[in-house]
Amino acid sequence: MMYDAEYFLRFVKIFAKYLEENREYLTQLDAAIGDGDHGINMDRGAKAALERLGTTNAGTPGAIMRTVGMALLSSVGGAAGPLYGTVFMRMSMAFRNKEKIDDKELVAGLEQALLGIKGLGKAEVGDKTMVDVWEPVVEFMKENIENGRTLPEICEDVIALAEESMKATIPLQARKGRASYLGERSIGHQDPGATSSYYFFRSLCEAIGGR
Amino acid sequence: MLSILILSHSPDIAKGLKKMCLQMVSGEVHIDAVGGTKEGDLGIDAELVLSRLEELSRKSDGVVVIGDIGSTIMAAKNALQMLGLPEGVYIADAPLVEGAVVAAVEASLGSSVEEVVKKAEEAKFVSKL
Repeated sequence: MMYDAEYFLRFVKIFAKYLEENREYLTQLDAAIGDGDHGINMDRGAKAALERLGTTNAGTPGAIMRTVGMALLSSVGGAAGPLYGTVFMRMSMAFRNKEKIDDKELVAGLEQALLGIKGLGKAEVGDKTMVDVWEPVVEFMKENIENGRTLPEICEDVIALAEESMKATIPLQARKGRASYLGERSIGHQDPGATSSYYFFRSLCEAIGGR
Repeated sequence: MLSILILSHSPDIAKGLKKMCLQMVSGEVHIDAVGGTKEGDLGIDAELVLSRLEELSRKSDGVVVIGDIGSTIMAAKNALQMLGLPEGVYIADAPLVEGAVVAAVEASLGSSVEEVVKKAEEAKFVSKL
């Protein structure tokens, strides 16, 4: 399948909708083990992104990702600003000025985004961060798409794996970010960054159907 | 001339620390500080960090960035990557207050940017008692 500017706009809108609907939920998750602003920050960032997309003339997948990335950098505030900012900027750089992106290019962009996240936060799988969702999901996508399958075919599995990986952060002890200051007391709570990452991949999949 | 860029989650800390540094220096050094979100709340405006770092790396002979917790360092790393890792721009692995003051003094004495980073990072091991 080919992913055009319309697809990426749908994706951003769906992601923004999930962040708005789950603003309180994400904030509660963050209040338990962090500074309690993840929901508010992400919702504000997504709204700023939509606003910028409305006023700029971003007509390619890369330009849309770049506009969103810059909006998140300027408006999110917490660590999620640079982290999600990097996600979108890295994807933008990977997409360059192509009009349409294929499955392989989409996954290559996501791989770059994952490298960006890991480079900034130095987190690995098991540290109770967004990497716990990103790494297994991107690896799964890469493996399947290299074997000739397309994202629409594996979407249900991608969403299920993202959800499972998000829930798997509950028993972990945080080793990165502010939650790590809590030590063992971080055990038993779902990681807010892993949760917003689940919405990210869910939105990426749901945008395919034009929902 | 070297520049020191102070980054804090708190706009008050950024402003206050810049003042402390300026009081300590006599020679030539540029001290800059970014703290808080666009609305002035706790957090960091990573886009502002990017534009400030771009400007400083263009205007100075070297830049030392010192941040406090978590996301300020991520904002700085992100900016460096987006600027293509400009030469002579470093993030010091140093405690914010002590590191910034030491860096400001060292830079004002005419040391190299590498020497300033080293001195700021040594501030980690200075015993207070």
